[in-house]
Amino acid sequence: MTESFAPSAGGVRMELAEWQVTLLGKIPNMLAEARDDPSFPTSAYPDDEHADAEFRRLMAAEWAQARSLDRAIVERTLKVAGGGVVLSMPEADAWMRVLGEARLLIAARLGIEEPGWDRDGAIEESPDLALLHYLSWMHGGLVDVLSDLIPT
Amino acid sequence: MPPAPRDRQFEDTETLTTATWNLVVWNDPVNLMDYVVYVFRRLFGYSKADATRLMLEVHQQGRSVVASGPRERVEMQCFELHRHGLWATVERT
Repeated sequence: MTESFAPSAGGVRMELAEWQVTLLGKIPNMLAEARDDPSFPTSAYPDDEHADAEFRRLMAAEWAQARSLDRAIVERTLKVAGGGVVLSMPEADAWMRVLGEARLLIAARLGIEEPGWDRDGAIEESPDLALLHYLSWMHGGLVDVLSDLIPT
Repeated sequence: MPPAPRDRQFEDTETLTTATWNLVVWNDPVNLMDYVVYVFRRLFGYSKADATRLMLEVHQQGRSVVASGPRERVEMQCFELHRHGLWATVERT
């Protein structure tokens, strides 16, 4: 499988095969439907119910808006990804967050709670596990490219 | 103990005033190590070496304090870490 992300002037070049566009196109909806899923970290004060509720209340709108914007960026850029597209840094960051969030959600559905799940045979083969491996590969590739773009 | 030089006293007082809350990142089995390093570098401006050290602390010890400061600022940083899918909490120093 060819790497989907590469450094490019002005950001990150993304090039996806048609099957990748189809597969990844399902991710934003999947995440939107899992809006309040406990797979996503939202708690700042796990030992203080009152402070935690206040934190969640203050952040809820911004949290929802930020996630919705990330999903919209992924949907918009996917439409032109088949022929290759250069993502700006904010767009690449949105992709990075969406891929990461999708990994969290699928891992939770698979019941992953301990490290070592990615070793061969550690958990039963399933379409969700295959998707998680694929998203891990995509996510890792994008993080590699973005890491090299941070000024040192 | 002799009194600290004036500048040092001011610095210590300021540290006490501002460094009231810690931002803690917790280990999880899903987020990729390189991703955690990237997020620490991007959000906090850490060098790759420092971000890697903090990531390894999270990975090996289960948690790491990645920033400290006034509560409001630390809460915003916690929100940003949540937004990046990292398990972060806020606690008193």
